[in-house]
Amino acid sequence: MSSPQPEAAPGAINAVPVRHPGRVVAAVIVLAIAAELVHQLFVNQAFDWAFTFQAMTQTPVVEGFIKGTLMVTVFAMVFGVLLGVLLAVMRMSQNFVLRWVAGAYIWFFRAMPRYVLLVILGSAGAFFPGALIVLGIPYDQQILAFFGIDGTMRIGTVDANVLFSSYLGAILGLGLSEAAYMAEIARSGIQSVDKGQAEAALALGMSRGQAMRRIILPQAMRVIVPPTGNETIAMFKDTSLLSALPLAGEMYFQLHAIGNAYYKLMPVLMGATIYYLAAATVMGLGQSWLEHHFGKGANAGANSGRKTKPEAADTVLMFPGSDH
Amino acid sequence: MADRIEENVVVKARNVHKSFGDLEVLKGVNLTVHRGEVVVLLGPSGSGKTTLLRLINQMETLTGGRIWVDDELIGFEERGDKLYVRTDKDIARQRSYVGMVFQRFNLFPHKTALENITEGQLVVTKKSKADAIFRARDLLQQVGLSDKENAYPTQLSGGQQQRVAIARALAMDPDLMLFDEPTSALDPELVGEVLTVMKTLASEGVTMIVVTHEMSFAREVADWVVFMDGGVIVEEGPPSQVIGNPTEDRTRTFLRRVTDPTNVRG
Repeated sequence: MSSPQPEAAPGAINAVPVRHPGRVVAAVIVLAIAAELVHQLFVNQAFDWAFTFQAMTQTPVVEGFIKGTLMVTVFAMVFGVLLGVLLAVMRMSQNFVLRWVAGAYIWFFRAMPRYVLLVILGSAGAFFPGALIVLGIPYDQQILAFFGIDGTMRIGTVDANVLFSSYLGAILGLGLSEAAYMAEIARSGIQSVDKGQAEAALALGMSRGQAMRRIILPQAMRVIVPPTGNETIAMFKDTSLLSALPLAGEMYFQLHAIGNAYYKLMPVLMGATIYYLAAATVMGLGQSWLEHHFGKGANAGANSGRKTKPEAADTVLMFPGSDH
Repeated sequence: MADRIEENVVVKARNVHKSFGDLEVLKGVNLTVHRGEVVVLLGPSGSGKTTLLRLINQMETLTGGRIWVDDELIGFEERGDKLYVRTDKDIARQRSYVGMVFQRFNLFPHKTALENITEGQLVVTKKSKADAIFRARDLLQQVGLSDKENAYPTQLSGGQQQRVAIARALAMDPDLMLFDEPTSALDPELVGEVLTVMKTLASEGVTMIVVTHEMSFAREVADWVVFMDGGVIVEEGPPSQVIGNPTEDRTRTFLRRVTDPTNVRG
């Protein structure tokens, strides 16, 4: 031990940091691999970027992206979230029939691969005689016969094959599947809220429904939003499965068709990649806005409801001796 | 209870039983609370005092006996010689007459102090927003937190949160206020500010049932002290009698332990 200097108080720290040669080597290797991959993007003959952009800007492809990817995602998610919350509430019901039905629904749709589900939906015409869905009052002939009338109460018919391979069918198929996952997400969110919150709301004289809508669900959203964001990104990607219906208007289907026609598959696949990356990026921005919105009060700093990160936390994470 | 007048009764509990499965928590409790009275429930943990409070606000359901609040049987309706369970809507209406303050505050964390206090007024009593805010500001002033109306609960100390919670319950103009160990979750230096608010309410004639271990509050503020143990009322009376000169051994043992926690020999 060296003896301390008696007069001078210890000054500012200016110590030599520990060196990490392993990290430097790893970084160099990773950088070299990444550089080679980027290099390949420019020189590899399998890419034909001019063709990629040409294919991407074809009207059917753009329309397929807007309708088949974006619109289907939005509507399938809205459908899935609403049905999912309903299923979650049913799952927690006092009534065992509601609980059991919700459980069976979730069990079935979580087990079904989306691709197989969409193929079944696309072939669902087989369930209807002549692939025709009849719109009207069920058991109309029997009911009318009961009153001594020979007739029907029907509005019209829809071709099942047309219905299920339309955008409506796409939204239905993906939404039904999504609801099963959203039900579990919503349930875990609702159950994450402290029981005292419901008690406080009920003690004020609120009904169960009011307590759920105004007190519990807004707090559950904080837990529900992040996995729902992931679900939405997964939904974007799963719209590429819609060719199983088959939904011909969808973007990936269209690009694939162009690729097949010109024997240039890789360039159109890159086009699809770019579309999906762009969509997921925008989605991520929307998600962070939502997380911020529903985090109100929960992660509030000392002075405002908006500030999330106290400055002290940053300092703790810094390496000693590093100057900034 | 001969020394108390049997009129202006807010709460009347008769032969109250409550079991959770095989565990019998309350074994036949009778309690009467008059308008303007402060009743303090004392007793060791597990004696059933919190359960009794939660039964009055229907956070739990009776397994035996009857409780009336404002002469109305709660939770059930007696028609002829049959007892009918009240609808959720009816139970919600009955709850709105009773204010409740929880041990762990249970403020709504996604709402500001002001919004916590306006919430019940807007949703349950359907007051206009202007009226609700006016009342909320008035109450915040009463509990000394006028400068905190836009603060979220996480930005408030425990004592401040509990004071907002009291204001939130008062906003419903309840006939009765229930306090379930309102200072037990607080740091010692914050207990005083909550008790001060409660004392003021008592002096203003608010009817209160308070579960607490704060002996000085019970001695000073209570009109009637009820000592419970093992699911029954062991002893009750004015504080000078129950705290000052208890007749039952169990009461004396409990008071000794509360005033001197290290004295575990009893």
